[in-house]
Amino acid sequence: MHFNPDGEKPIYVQMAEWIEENILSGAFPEEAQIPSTTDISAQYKINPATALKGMNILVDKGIIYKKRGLGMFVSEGAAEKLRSERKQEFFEKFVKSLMSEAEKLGITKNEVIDMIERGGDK
Amino acid sequence: MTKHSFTASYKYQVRRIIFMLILTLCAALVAEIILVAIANYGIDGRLTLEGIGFPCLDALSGLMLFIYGAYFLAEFMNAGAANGVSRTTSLVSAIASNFTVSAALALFVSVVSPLINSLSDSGSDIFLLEFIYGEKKFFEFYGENAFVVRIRFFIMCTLSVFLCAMVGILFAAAFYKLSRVGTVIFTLIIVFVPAFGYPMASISLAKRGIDLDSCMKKFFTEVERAFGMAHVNGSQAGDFVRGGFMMLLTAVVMGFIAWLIVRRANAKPAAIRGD
Amino acid sequence: MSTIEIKNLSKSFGKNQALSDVTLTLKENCIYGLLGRNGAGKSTLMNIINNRIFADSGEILIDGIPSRDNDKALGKLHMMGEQLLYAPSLKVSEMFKAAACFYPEYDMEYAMKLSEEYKLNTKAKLQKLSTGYRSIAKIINALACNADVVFFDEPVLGLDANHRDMFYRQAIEKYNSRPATFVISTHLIEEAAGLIERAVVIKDGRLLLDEDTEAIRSMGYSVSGKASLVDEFAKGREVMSEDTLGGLKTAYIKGDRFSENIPDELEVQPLSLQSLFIHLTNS
Repeated sequence: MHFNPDGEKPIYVQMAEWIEENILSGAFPEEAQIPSTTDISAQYKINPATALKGMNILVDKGIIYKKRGLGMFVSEGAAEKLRSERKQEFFEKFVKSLMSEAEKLGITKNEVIDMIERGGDK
Repeated sequence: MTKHSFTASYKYQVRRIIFMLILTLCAALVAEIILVAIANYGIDGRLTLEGIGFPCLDALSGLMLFIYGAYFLAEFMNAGAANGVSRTTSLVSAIASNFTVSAALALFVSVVSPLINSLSDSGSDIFLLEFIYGEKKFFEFYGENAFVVRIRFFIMCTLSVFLCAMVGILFAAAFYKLSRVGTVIFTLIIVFVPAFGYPMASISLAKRGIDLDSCMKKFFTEVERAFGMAHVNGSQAGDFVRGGFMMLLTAVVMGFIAWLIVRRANAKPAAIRGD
Repeated sequence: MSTIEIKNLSKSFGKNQALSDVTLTLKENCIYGLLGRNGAGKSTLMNIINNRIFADSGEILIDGIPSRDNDKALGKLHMMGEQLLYAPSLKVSEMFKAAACFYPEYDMEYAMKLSEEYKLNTKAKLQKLSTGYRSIAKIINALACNADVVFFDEPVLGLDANHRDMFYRQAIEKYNSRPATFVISTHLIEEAAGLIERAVVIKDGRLLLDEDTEAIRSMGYSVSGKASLVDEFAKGREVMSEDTLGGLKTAYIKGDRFSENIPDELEVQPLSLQSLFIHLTNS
């Protein structure tokens, strides 16, 4: 895992998303402790202030919380919260652009539905 | 300059000088012992330490500290600059550390040298300072307390060695401050003024009826008088208080000039051989 | 925790005006990247701050105290410079001991631990080390002295990739364990981009930029596509430079790509810190 300083998204966003991915996949279970900014910044060689910024985004979203003296923990219900958030993103990012791309290429909605049915079977 | 920065510089410097000094002295001692033994063996086939002595050890000490005072100055300035210490602090502590080492060396000269000389009957115990200010034996003969005589000698030795160190520091300060071109010019001046400047001035002044040689002679006599040296006033005893005071004063003046030169000098790193 | 205020600093070497009227504040507990082309004045600036050379005009205040020749203020700083300011015959361990004399918070155990990690022979004389290992010795010294502001003048010059990686990690670990300000001047901008919080860019002896790296990222972007479309879009905008390949054109534009209405037909890319730096400092 390497955070790209020159990526589309700022590093702190990349980091926040990385943590979210790990929560969704179960690598960071709910109520479990996640790596600290100290560990993450040293391991991935990113500026600690940047790492803190990423953590704070998640704290603000209620995905993680701070236990004083111990560190950051995954909030209860975080995974579910993230999943519904992702569902909405899925719609915005994939479905909408799928339809506009289809329109560009002159594919009808029914043809698209057909393709989805076909694509859905492996 | 803070108490901490001065102490740190001082400790670092004393350690550096003493280390080199001990190395040099041990080497000199060992060399002397070996040479004397070999010489004795050559003369009459016996490996003894007869004739061993360190004549003018005080003069030798002065020479050594002149060299080391100069040798370490640049390093001390740079080490200070590398560690957040001003040139002023480095110089002031260099003066202090050189004084400390001068005292240590004077102690060695006052104590060790007589010890070595006692290893042999024909050993000589001549010090340059005794030539200049009168022999210790002479003062003891005239009833002065032996302890006082030795302490006095130790103090004079410290001050004279310290003065030599300050001369070295002053030269090194000039070389540290000057650029490469400046260094060359400065060296040329030091070399050529006595070699050519003096004879030339002597000749041209002679044409105007001024005898430069006798002027210089008078000048040196006055210096000797100022420093309270023995034979000037016709007696065998020098004026210690005056001599000591003048040495200290000269050293302080030199230190001040060195400070003026070096206080705003850029840190000048040493060239690394083989790089 | 110390702040350094640099006010109207100027320095010339003969006819070369190395620094002109540089005014800048280095805040506490921040990792700075000091960027600039060769000869831009970065080393000169750092040398003046650290009292190794003296400015022609201007002043530097450390926590409000004028720092020139002031040991109390200067004791809060340490600089890892390109030049070697110790006697070359000194051993590495002696250099550490000397620094420990001057810096009360010096951590000798840490210096030894790092030396082992780098496989640095602390009994070797400085002049006998390769250039890379001499840099490593100086880096270790700088990290171990625990000063409030540590300057690194091209620390990774001559270091292999593994050692560079180690240095970045150790710098962050040290920063985490004892917050301080690090000012790192480097030409390897890509490598250091993730590490630095703020970038200070010097161009021709003048301060060009003093910004958060995030903010810098929104200072420029590139658009690529059909040449005519790119030209159309670029009209009225500040174009830093352009590349053409056949009918395709790429324009590097100053501005924030998120506040622009960019047509779908053009491909937008953020600019890396390095390419932005290159464009800003090309004369």
